Amino acid sequence: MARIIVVTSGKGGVGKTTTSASFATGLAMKGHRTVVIDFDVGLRNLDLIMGCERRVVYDLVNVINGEAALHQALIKDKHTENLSVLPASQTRDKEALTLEGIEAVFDELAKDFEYIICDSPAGIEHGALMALYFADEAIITTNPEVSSVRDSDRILGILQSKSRRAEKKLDPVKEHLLLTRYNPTRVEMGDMLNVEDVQEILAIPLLAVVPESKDVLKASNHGIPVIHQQTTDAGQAYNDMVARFLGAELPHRFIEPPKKGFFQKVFRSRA
Amino acid sequence: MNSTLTSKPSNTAFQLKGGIFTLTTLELHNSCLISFCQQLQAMSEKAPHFFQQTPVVMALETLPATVDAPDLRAIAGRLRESGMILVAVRGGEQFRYTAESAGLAWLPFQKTKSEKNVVMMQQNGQPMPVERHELNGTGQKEDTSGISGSETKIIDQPVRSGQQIYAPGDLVILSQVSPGAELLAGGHIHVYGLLRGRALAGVNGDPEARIFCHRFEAELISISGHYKLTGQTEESSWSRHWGQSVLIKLAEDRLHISRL
Repeated sequence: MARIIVVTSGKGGVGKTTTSASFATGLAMKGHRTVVIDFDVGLRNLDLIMGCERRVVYDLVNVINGEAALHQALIKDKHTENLSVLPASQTRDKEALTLEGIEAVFDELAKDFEYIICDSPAGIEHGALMALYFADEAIITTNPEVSSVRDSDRILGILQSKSRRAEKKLDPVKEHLLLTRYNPTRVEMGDMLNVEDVQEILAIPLLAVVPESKDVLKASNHGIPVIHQQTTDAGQAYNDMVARFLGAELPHRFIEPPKKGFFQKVFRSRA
Repeated sequence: MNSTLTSKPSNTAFQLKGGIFTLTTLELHNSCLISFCQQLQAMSEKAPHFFQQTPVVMALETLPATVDAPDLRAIAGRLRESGMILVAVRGGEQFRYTAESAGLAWLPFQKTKSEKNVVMMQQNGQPMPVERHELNGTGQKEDTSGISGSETKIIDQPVRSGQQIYAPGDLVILSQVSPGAELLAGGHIHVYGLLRGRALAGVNGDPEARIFCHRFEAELISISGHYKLTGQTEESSWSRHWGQSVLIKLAEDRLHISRL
């Protein structure tokens, strides 16, 4: 049975697409047949990050509308075996997505793939709801700042109430926290929330911390997921994330030893 | 609770206020007027002075779904003869227009605590709430257990930002309440995790409602319409109890926070 995993956050610009690309690539590198789907219809980006933008002919909306067969729309990744990309449409909007259509696509993908990774658009509207509805697990991508944490909290509430698993009263969606763009120096200065602060607010298990890194932007611009660059911190962090997701127990890296938390600093003055 | 909708009572002809009243509910089991009149007459004979100018709400949600619309005008007339004044019907969305054309108010069906268990009956000529008897049955008492407890809602997952939880009675949260989440309860609120969101107890006007929480970092607390916000309260009580285990109650129209 294929596992459907949504990469979501609520807030934009936190690293959902970067994470989707590296996470899917990582799973495929470990030998798992994986497909990554761009749900950001109208603002497609995943194909750029994956470096396959010139090979996009058909897209998710074409498949849902029956204008193309699934195998015509799937793009085999050049760098990694076992990995395919299902791009979003640039010319449609998110209303083109329907639950029936998506379910049919998932049913067909489940025959060939072990993992279906859904790259959610930002927001909590139709597109994001479509991306998370069928999810078995969710990667909650969060930056260490208050608005991102608040939005992640909101998305967690939606996963618990509006996903298929919630509506059908099945086991709840398994939630993983991924803290991205983490800058230990700024955390130390008190500019950013630290890992404990975020975990305390969201109260879900931490999957990995990905440090803020110039390599991420460079990799995105080159269309090669950063996980391919194993000499970089970000690449190694994503590698750890994939290994932990698959059950390995690794110590968390790229976190400075715990310092006094943001909340304690702010609220100490109130006492 | 009475909530004032217009201001300055001295300058105005009237003032609108909300109020909560206990009314007798008549549950209709079928729409047959003949059997209704027979039962009503039998009851009147047993207790001729029991109902005097008694307002009655007729519950229609107990009717079978496929039944014809009851003749509300005729029923209202018969009830009137027995001293009952039909003021409104409740439930049965499909009968809403029928009620309107009969000049009656229509109320949505909401399950309440007491009505299942208590019915007005005569005792020594005085109306008194006693245990329920089947009015059309053999006079045998029905099981009346379980008045309390059934209204308490227990939530064992975190309440996330943007979620709103309402309980007509007490509300018990076993996990945390995130900022931007809202708890509403007719009765008390208990939070056994961290309370960072909003908690409004006694929303139906119960000033005795209280809020208990294990770790107090709330955005807003309210009891029976009296509220306090995290920023606007005087320096001392809110921040002194920040992060602590507290009890919040209403006394002399003020919210009091004290350590548990």
